[in-house]
This record gives sequence, structure tokens and C-alpha cells, in this order.
Amino acid sequence: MEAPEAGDRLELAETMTKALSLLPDNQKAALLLRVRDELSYQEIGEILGVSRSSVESLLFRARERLRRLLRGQEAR
Amino acid sequence: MRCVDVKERLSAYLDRELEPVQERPVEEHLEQCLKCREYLADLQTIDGQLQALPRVDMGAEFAEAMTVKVCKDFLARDGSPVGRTGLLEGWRTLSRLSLSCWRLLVRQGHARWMSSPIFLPFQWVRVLQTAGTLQRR
Repeated sequence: MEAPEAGDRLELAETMTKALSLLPDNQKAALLLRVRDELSYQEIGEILGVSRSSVESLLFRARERLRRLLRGQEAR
Repeated sequence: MRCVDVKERLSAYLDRELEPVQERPVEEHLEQCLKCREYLADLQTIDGQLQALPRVDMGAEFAEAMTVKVCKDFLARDGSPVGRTGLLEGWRTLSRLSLSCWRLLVRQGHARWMSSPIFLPFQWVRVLQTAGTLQRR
């Protein structure tokens, strides 16, 4: 698969940023701490003050919502 | 396992956060289910796109909102930072509150300059201001 052109990358980033802005803050925080900062569920739970299983649930819901938004299955 | 149960676990599977006993049935299901493999590929794509976002896109506004949220959660759990149980307990609560807010801001990449011990007093002032504002509401 070819790497996206600069214009496409910009468009992708814009679409993702818009979709992220529609997530509740706790879902967004859990997702960014996991994907960008590569923290464990335990560490994310300590920062957000929730249990490990809550982190798992937050991440599942965040990714599912993003997937739907990016596929256009959900009104923005 | 049914697809609906597997999908609920694929996020944790992707993060390598499932116990081996949970992981095995998921892998077995993935081997024979194209739809779930496609779902997993979608999640991997989303993660890749998130990692590619420039740091600045997260926004200082979001970091601020999260600081307020963390402070609110502490106040809801532990009550007033000055506490009814005396100075020592209040001090302990404030320490935990400050550490949590500080870690969050630094992890989010919005406050790297604050991670130096020299700037720790700024963090304390910020946390005290936030906690004070929330208590007055």
C-alpha cells in the first residue's frame, strides 16, 4: 500500500481530529493515553481514577465510536 | 464465541491486555471469522491514524478540561483538600491531587516545561486554583 500524499495526510488528520472532538473527555483521554503515550490499562486507571475494567470499557467504546464516525455510520 | 462477544474484547486484544485464558478463544475465533478480522484491521487503522496526529492537535483546551475533571474526581472521592480530618490528611490529599494532575498534563505533552522540579510550585498553584474554584461552585 502506498503512503498517503501530504494533502491526504492532512485531510486524514483533520477528519480524525473532528471525530475525536465528538468523544466524551474520559474516552478521549483513555484513548490518547493508550495509543499515543502507550500507557498500560493500570496506569491509565491510576491517572483517570477508575478501575482497570473501566479503562477497558472506555477504550472499547471510544474505538467503536471512532470507527462508526470514520465509516460514516453515525451522524456527526 | 459469538462475534458480538469477540468484538467487545478486540480493543483489549489489540492492546495485549487480555489474560492468556481470554486471548486464546479470541484468536481461535479470528482464525475462522473474516468479519472480526476486518473489525480488528479497522481498529489497527484507527490507532495508526491517531499515532500520526501532530501533538498540537490535542489542544491545550482538552488538557485544561482533563485537569478540571481529575480535580473534580478527587474532590468527589476525597472531599475538601483541607479536609475535615486535619492538616496531615489534607496535605496527603493535595499531594495525590497534584501528582495526578501533573502526570496527566505531562503525559499529554502540553506541559513538558513544567516537568522540571524548578516549576513544581507552578503546578501546585494551578492545582490549588482549580480545586478552590471547583469547591466554590
